[in-house]
Amino acid sequence: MSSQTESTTDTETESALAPLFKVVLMDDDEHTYDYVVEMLCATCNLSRESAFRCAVEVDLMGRTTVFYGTLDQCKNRAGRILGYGADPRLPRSRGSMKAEVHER
Amino acid sequence: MRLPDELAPQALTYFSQILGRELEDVSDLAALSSRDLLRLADLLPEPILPALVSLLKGAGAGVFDKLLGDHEEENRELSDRFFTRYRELVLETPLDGDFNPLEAWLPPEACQDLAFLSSRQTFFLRQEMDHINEWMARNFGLGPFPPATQLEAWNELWSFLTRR
Repeated sequence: MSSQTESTTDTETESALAPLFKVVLMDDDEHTYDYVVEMLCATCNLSRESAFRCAVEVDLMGRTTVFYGTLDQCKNRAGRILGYGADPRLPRSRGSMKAEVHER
Repeated sequence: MRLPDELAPQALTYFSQILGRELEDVSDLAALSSRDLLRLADLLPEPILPALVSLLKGAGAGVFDKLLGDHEEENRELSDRFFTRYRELVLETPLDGDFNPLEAWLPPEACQDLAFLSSRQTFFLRQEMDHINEWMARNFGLGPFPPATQLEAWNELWSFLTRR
């Protein structure tokens, strides 16, 4: 019983500390790999290598998680993504990529 | 890039020869183990890697994890090599300090389309003043603008184009 209580307490502490929200980037046909990498480095502080892996995942799977944090942190990052603007490399690109804040 | 559907059978035939195993359709490719998929990628010449990635698009959950090596240590080297080769192939080479993104990606003639131009505002505002001044002077005879006045330069450009 004692160890069960400790375990529960540990889990509760972990849950309280763990980021409860995430930012999910959605795929489209209006942005290049270069844009995704540059944008994720600037908005989510990802390394170029991590950003590239996210770019491949969003291309392959249609979505990728690019940030974990509190609700406010995630709203901030999603706002930065939504405000980053069009991909200048593609004349047809007219806006930012879409990003959503989800509960984990 | 998406591989045209009519080229998929040829690509699969080629991959089958490389791998020494019959791949009849995309589901066979997606069903490969992480190690086999990464081994196939490793054997392909760089220009063919986009075709492999294209075929894996929409091939079901798990294909990206397979490219990551299914998080197995024994696959890490192959996975890292795949991402390095693919990255070097599809990303631009790092641009040197003389490169002016405005010169490359915001042709002055396209600025007559105000809807297009407005879609480039955030891109414009991220540029260094030296590049903005160079581009504005060369193409519109505007400026120079002092440091950290990207927004003023943008407003001046917008006013200039809308009153013509």
